[in-house]
Amino acid sequence: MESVIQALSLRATMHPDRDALVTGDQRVSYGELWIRIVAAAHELARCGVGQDDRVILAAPSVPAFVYGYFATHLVGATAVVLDPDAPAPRREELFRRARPKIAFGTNAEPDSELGRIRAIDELESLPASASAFASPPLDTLADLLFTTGTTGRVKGVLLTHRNLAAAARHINTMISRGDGDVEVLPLPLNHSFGLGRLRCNLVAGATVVLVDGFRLPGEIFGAMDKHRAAGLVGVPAGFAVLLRFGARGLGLFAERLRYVEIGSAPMPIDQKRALMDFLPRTALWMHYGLTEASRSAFVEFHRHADRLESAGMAAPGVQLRIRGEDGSTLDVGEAGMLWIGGEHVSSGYWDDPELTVKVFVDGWVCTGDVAHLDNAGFLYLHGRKDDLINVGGFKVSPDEIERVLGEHPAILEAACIGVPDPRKIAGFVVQAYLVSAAGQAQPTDAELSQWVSARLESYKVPAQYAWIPALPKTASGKLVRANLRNITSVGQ
Amino acid sequence: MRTTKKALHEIRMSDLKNALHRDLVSRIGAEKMLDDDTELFSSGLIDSLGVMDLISFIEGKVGCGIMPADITLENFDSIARIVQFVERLIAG
Repeated sequence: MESVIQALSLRATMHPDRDALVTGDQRVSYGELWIRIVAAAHELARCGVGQDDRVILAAPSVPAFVYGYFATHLVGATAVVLDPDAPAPRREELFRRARPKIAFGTNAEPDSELGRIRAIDELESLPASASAFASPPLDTLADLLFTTGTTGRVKGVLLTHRNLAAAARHINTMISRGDGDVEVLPLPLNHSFGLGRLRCNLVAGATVVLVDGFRLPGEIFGAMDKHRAAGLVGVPAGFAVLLRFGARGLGLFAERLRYVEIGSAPMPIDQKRALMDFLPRTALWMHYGLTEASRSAFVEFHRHADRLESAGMAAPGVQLRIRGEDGSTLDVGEAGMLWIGGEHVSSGYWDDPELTVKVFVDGWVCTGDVAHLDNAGFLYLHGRKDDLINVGGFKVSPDEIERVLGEHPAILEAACIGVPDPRKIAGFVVQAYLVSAAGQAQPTDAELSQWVSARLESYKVPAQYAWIPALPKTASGKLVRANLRNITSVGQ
Repeated sequence: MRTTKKALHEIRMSDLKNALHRDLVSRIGAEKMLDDDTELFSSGLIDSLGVMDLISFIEGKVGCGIMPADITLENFDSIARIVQFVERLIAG
C-alpha cells in the first residue's frame, strides 16, 4: 500500500504544473506544493522534530497549513490539528495533552504560556531544497485528532499512515471522478471530514478549492462557478443553507456538478429529496463514519432511492458487524452495537489506555451507535448508546456544557439534551435546563451564551435555555436525561 | 416580497443601519462591541447558522430577495458593507 505522502510525491512528478490548491487568488501547483512540503520538512528537522514527536497546527485552512501537515508526515512525526478559534481553556488542555515539539498558530506567540508558537505563514517562504527524507513506514503514527468523548473528556484518536491511506483508497473507490477534477471544499482542515477530503483529492491528483466555510453561500457558488467545480462536499447544515435558494442556487450547477459528498451528521429525508430534485444527474454520496473509522459506509441517493433512510453499505475493505450485549454477532434485522473493522480503523486513543481497551478489540472499533443491517447489507442507525449530541456535524457531550453552566454562580445545576434545530439547519441544537441557585438573579440567555462561549467552542453554546425547579433524577440521585423532554420551563 | 422600485428607494439607509444594529445586538449579545465596520463573518461573530437569519431579516426590511451569489464576504462582512450593498441593490 502506498502512503498518502508517497502518492503526493508521485503526483508532483507526474503533473507538476496542475493546480493542487486554490484559495482566493492564490494557486499552488503540485510541483510547488511538494517543494513547499519538503522545505517545511527541512525546517521541522532543523528544529529537532522526528519520529515520536508531535507538531501542533492550530491554524486556518490556508496552503501553509497543508505544507506543515504533510511536512510533519514526511519527517515521521505526528500532526495534531486544532481549531485555531478554540477558547483558551480548551487550547491549553489540548496543548498540555499533546506535548508538541513545535506548534504553529494563526499568529506568532513567542512568549505564550504554552511555549513558543510560530506563525503558520512562516512555512510560506522557506528556501527550497532537495528532499532527503524517506517515507515513514505505514504503521508510523501520522495524525492525532482530538474529538469529543462521551464523558466530556476529549479523546485523542491515533491514526497511522496505513489508516489514512486505506481510508483515502476506499473513499476514492466509492466516489470516482475524472483525472484533474476540481472540488470545492468549504470544510475546515482541522475537522476530520475536511482533512480527509484534502488527502483524497491530492492522492487522486485533483484540484482543491479551499473556501472558508458555508457561512456565505455566495463564496461557495462563486468558487463553483469560477473554477467549474465537478465536486462539492459539506455537512448537512451547510447544504441546508444552500438548499434555501433552490433552483437559484445549487440548481444552477445541475449540469456541471458530477458528485457531492455529505457527512458528519444525519440529513433529513426532505433535504435528501430536495438535493435529488435540484441535482438529478449528480452522484449524491452520503457517508457514515467516525474519526476512529473514517467513512465506513456510503449511500448514493439516486442509486439507492429506496433506501434513503439507510446510512449506506460498507465501503470497500470495510466490515460492519452488529453485536449483542454478550459480544456475539447478531442476525440480519436485529439491532445491536455497531462494530467496524478494516485497515482504516484507528489503533487507539492517545494517553487513554483504559478507554482504548474498551473501544478497540482485535482491530475492530465499537462505534457507540445502535444499528441493524438489512439483508442487502445496508446499515440503519437507531441512535446513540450514549448522550452525544450532533450539532451540524460536531459531536457535543452534554456533560461538559453542564459542567461549564454549573460553574456559573447563579446556577445550582444544569442538564442538556439535543433538540431538533427549529431553523432546520444544524440537525440538532443544545437545549439547556437550569436550576437557579438560591438568592441569585437569573442571568439572561445572552449572558449565559457568553459564559459558555468564553469557555467552549461556539457550536457547544446552547440555543435554548429553560429554568426549572429541579432536574429529574433517580432515587439514587442520577440524572434521568430522557425525562427532560417532558418538562415545561418556569418563569424567567 | 416584491416591492416597487419607488418604495424601495424610500427606505432610509440610516433606518436600515439602526435596524441591523439592533437585530445583531439581540443575537450576539449587547456586551460585544459592534460598530458599522465590525467584521461580522471574518471575526466569527456570526456563524453559518446565523447567516440565513440575517439574510431573512434584510430581505424583510428591503422587500426583495437577495441572490445567493451576492451573499459574499465583500457584501456582508460589516453593517457598513451591507448598507452599501443594499444601496446598490435598490439603485440597480
